[in-house]
Amino acid sequence: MLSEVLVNVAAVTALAPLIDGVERKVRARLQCRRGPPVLQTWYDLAKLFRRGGVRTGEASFTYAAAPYVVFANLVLALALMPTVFNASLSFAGDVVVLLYLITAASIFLVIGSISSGNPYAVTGSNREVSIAVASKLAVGFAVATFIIDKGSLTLRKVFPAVLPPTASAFIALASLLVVTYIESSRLPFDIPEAEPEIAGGVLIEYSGRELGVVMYSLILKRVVLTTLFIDLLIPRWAPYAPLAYIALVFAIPLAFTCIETFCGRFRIDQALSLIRGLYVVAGVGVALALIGF
Amino acid sequence: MLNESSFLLLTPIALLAASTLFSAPFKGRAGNYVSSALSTAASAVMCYVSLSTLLYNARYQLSVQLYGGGGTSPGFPSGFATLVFRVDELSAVFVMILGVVGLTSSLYGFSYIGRFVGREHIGFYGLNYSLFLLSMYAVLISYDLFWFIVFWEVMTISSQFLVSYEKGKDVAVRAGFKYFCMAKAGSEAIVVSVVMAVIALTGMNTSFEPVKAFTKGLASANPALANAIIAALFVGLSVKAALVPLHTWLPDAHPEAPSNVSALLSGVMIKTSVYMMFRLFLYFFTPTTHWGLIVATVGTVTLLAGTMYALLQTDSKRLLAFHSVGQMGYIVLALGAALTLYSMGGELPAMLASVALAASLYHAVNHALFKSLLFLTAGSVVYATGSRNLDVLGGLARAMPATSVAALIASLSISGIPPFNGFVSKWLIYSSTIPSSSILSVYGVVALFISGVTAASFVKYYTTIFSKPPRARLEGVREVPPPMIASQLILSALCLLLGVLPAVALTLVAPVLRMFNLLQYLRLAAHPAIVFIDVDGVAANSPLLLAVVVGTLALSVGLGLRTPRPPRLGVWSCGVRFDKYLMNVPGASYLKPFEEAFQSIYSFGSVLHKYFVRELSRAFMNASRRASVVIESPAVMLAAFLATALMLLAWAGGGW
Repeated sequence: MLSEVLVNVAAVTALAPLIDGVERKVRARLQCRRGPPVLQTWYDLAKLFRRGGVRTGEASFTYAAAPYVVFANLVLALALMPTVFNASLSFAGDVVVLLYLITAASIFLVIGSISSGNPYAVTGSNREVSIAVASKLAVGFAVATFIIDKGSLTLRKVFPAVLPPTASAFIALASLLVVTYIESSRLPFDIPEAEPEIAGGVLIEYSGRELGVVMYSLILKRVVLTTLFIDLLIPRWAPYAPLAYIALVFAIPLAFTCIETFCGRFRIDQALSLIRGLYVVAGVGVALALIGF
Repeated sequence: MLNESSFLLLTPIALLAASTLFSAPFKGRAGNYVSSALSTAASAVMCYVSLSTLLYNARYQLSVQLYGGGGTSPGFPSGFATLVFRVDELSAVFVMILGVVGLTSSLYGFSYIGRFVGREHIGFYGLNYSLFLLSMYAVLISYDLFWFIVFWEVMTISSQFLVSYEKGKDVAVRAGFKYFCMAKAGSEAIVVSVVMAVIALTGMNTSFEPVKAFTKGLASANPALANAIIAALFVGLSVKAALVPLHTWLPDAHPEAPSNVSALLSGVMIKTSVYMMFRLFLYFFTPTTHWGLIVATVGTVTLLAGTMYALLQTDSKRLLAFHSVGQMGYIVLALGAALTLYSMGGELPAMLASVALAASLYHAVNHALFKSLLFLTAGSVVYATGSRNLDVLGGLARAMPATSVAALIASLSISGIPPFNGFVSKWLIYSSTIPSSSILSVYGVVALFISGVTAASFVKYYTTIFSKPPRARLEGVREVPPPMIASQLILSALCLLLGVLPAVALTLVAPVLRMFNLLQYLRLAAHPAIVFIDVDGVAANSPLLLAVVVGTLALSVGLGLRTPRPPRLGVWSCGVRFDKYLMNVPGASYLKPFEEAFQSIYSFGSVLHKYFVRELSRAFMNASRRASVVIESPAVMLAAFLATALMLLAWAGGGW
């Protein structure tokens, strides 16, 4: 059981940069570029891990510690969900823990980033927190729809045994998919980093290994969110589940990246008002679940 | 069950009374030393009393005959002659809160009050501080409605003087006045009149037990009256508990008091209301679904509004005060959920009710710890820099490392990040509400969302004070003196302890659950680091385990990639050279987009404020002005007097 969990985590952690690499390749092809090799993200990370960094004069201990804490939070979040194999750390109430770990990752990231003392980092961090917190209500509604249906706060009991048949589950999954897109900070929601505008925002001062860990964490965060969506979609006990998982964990980001290619960046207020719209949709899902649809 | 150790109950009273008397004459430092030392000792005794009650089943009861050898004069409540002190399980939990927060804030006061030497009369602080502690203690231990009211009044008056302690500051005096008006006129009039009515109805028998016998019968005999009593008391207590929309005094009053008093106000005083709500809903009356839902709804609105308004604040202590409102919402939501689920009947709702009740008490304890710690850290910043302005402060983590770590721990605790204590109690709140498949599920999700907002707001609190650069040069900032560090350290350690060992806190609140026959549903784990609750099959959750896993992962990654000491460079500002203090984001701009996205909440709030608060108070003022004109004219007064006298005569004479 535990070894399967370890294999799960190790496999997905290793796969995550590859997913990003494939995305970059596809994006390049869509933009009529040749694009880097699919392992390019791995090469980038490996190069960053080998490099020493520089720090600002302002940086306090939170700056140095934050990337590692963020990374650990996300790895633990991965361990809470079945990925390739149907195995996960499971205990009652782990739904809440999962949501907390995802939020805590954003929180620690911005605490570290602001500690660099760079005003661009502060601006980017405010955007990051705004989006992370605002989308949490939508995620909460979506997950609550399943919790109400199953009457349990344990992920393994919340995940469906068969393809979800109810209207409320459909609405919840749809809103969760949109949140996954928004939280994975892709265009048009690439607002916290916003390279051309605030020069990387939360990432601006990080360099060397710390930058590598932060970038790896951002890639992992995408996978965590995608995994939550996949686990709520496909029945984990089906024999085809491992294959379906691997197929979807590549397919969903690829679909996202196709949308991404044709988008410019939203302003933060546009993104937030979209998230507010999601509350209504997800709220309808919860209401339907409460009356039993 | 009376034993000799019951005189221990009187020790804090004696110590605090002595402190009141002996600190008052000193105008200088000595007054503070007397009051701080004696209140520290008194608080330690309070801790002992409450812990021995909760852990070793000790019983303290004491009745003091004030006069008259036991005979009661007709027309007076019998409680007037005897003073019954008794610590039962419920009051013990709150006495414990008072003891711990009292201990740390008294210790903190040793150094902190030094700020005011030469500016204010220190003896006046000592007198009111001791009296404030004394009255809170007496409110919690008096087992008699009449005396409860008496000490409740003393508590309001003494705390009001502490709020407006810096009498030279216009803001402080105004805040004290507003607090006094709302607490006194608004709430206590209601509470006093209702309690007096209850006392009259029970035949002048004011001890809790006869009152309980009366109220339990009342619910079936005269439900309208029972509901009216509950409604009036709930409204009255809501003012003191700062539940929306009756919270407006709190964000003005709490920041203005000296910081250790703010810690007591936010950590303990508003909890005395919660204590009485527990008594009201669970002890005096039997829980009903409609009251449960009303309480839960009020709680949800409170946590939403309080926390959303906290985002707007740029004054460190005012931000914390708004979070006090928000966190009270969590406590009250859990209480309401417990009432609702309890009244539903059946096995599963009873389980959830036990969890919700435990969560409510657990969160009350936790809030007392992390909120007083936050106020103490804000106080340390005021002590070191003299400023509460988040727009100006910054970069103090290097000058004040101990305070910054304490503030970080407290911020993570209130945001509910594992392994700190706020995480467990919030987790229990969600566990009891979200799976209930009722409107409570939605409330639970809102609470979950607001927990994220809280985290966002504390990112602002911590980073603006401690980690982002300041907006102006802060000269000569030094770490605060040892007593202040010590009290911050104690509270930080407790935040961590109750987070990694949830069973400790659950053991402490378990006697209260036993009192209400809910304990059999709450299973305590064999291992103290794992919370076991029985929601679906076996539920387990261990913050310690989570923390260890996250910590090890972070450490191993961190050590595996250990870099040589990196060179320090200036902040990179895209190649342009800016003035360090100008190119900076002020606290007011933090989370601006988020605030704008939720503008509707704020505009709704300001509309409510306009019509509900401003217009109402103006109408009230006008009415009373007009009434005073009418009453002061002799002709009208004489006519009214005659009419009343005639009516009374007719009534006394046996009817028309």
